[in-house]
Amino acid sequence: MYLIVVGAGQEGRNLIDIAIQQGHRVSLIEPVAENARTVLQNHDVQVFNASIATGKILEEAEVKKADALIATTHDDAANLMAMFLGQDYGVKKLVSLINDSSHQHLFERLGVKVLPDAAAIVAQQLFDFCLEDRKNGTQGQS
Amino acid sequence: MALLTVPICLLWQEYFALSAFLVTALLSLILGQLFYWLGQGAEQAQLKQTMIVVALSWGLIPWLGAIPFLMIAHGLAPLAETAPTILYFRDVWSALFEAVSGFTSAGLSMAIRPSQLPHSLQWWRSFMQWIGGVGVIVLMLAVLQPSTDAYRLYSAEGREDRLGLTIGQTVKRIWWIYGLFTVAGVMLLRVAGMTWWEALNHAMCAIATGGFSVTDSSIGGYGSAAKLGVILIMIFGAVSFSTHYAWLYRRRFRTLWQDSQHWLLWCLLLIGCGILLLENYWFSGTFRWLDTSFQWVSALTTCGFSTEPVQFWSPSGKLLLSLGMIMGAASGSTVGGLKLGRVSILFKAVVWRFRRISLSPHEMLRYQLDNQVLSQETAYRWIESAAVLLMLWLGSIAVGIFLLIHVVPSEYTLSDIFFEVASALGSAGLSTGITGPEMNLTAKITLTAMMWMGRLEIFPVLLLLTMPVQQVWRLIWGRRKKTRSKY
Repeated sequence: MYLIVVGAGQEGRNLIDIAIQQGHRVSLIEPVAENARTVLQNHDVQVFNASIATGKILEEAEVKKADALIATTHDDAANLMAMFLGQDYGVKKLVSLINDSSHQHLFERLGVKVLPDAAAIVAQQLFDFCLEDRKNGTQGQS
Repeated sequence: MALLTVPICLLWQEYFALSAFLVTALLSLILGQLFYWLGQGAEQAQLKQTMIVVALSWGLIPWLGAIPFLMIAHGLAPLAETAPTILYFRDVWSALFEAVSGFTSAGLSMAIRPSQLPHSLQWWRSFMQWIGGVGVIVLMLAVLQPSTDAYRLYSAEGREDRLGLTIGQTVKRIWWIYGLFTVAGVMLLRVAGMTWWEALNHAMCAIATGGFSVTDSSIGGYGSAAKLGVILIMIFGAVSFSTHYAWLYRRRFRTLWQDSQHWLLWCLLLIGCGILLLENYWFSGTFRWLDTSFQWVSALTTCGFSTEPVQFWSPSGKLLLSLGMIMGAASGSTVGGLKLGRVSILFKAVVWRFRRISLSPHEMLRYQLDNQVLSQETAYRWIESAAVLLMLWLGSIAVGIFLLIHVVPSEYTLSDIFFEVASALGSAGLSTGITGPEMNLTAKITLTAMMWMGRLEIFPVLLLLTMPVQQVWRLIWGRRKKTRSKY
């Protein structure tokens, strides 16, 4: 599979980790040179040092061959633009992170699979761990 | 060091040599104490100062090394049966040339027939190379306490690979490995058909990639077994000591070909042999497997043993050998030359350059070397230092050729001179026959300076030589500024 990742934040980097380990081809579009270099140091991926708003940047990354486009920036405007462009080029799978859950319907109108409010999910997961422990504890007692 | 030679004199009953070595020992002791005494209370050394110290010490120590040659030659001169080989060493520059060639483990020699030298001098030559190979610096470090200064001294000599946690430990390990290989080499050569004396001398010079021999025709007079043995020892001497450490102590044999410079070493050894074989076949009509590969290994490892006179080779063959002597083998070993670590970086730089041209406008390049990814700045810095050294190297060769071409007899062609200069600068020691005691004084000094510069990778020597110029410049410039400010 060929994935184009937009944004090399925490989420983006971890995603690249997983994708490379499973043997997929990955390209990264990241406007901050420092972040781009960090990824380049650790992974054998193609890196484009540009913002998604740069003209024809997706064409440079061979978007026609891409199986999926994943937006992971902390700026919903950039994510939305990436998704819009992705739909324009006809990328089959469009996935995005959303930082503000009120934008969810904008993305969904484009047919994008979204992960709304990542922080809330992490919080929920953490809380679940606590509950699990308590459950185990009560089981142990009874 | 000279004291260690005394037993050899006694063993071979060469009592005339005793006084020479005792004087040398005494002088070096006095000088050493003097410098130690002067250096007490000195401040922490900066990189520039340490480089200058390295250049100075490698420039001064050969003067001590030259004393035995001078004294013995003068001492033996009145005797009628003294061979001309010895008599030539009455010339100070010849003696110095020999000593520099020894301590830089180059192997160019002023001795026409080394077999006629007294055994004590034969040993002295081999011993200088053996010590020079592993570095006088390392010896000093084993005596001195490990400190940051020591580390700076160490990297100024061009060997940055550390094997242990401290310098002292590293040096000890280097000596262990070095000693081990020397003993193994002696055994190997003895089995291969040399006498004990020859085996000892040749093994010491081969592992130091030096190239002084105790016979008249270098390794040419021995059978194929001995030749193969010497090839093997030379290659061992050309592999980085950190790699030796990795496979000897840690049993990681893969390091022998894993990093780019050793991979390049094996490739060059094979490819160079192949090309040179074809070249010689084309030139002389016969396949001379062993001699050709011996000469190539000797050139690439900058050792300088030979099995046949190179001057009768074709110009293209000489050019190939010169190329090998310019490149040298793995850095972190006893070889001279540019060292393959740098060559592989320069090669990579070309690859990177081509890749950058074919990149799309926003794409970034990944600088990968030896399974490790470099940041752009590191990559640039490495390329820069390698390229600058290459520049200086070629520049020095050009200057050397220019000087030599005026003073060398006209039967030697430009390719001969190029070969000789590349050999001196790479501290290799193969010779087209230009080097000899009848050589013009300018040529002697030029080649001596080349060996000195090449061994220390030019920078320290240039720093040392430009220091007085800088001082004078500052003096004049400073004055002018003052006079100007008056008006």
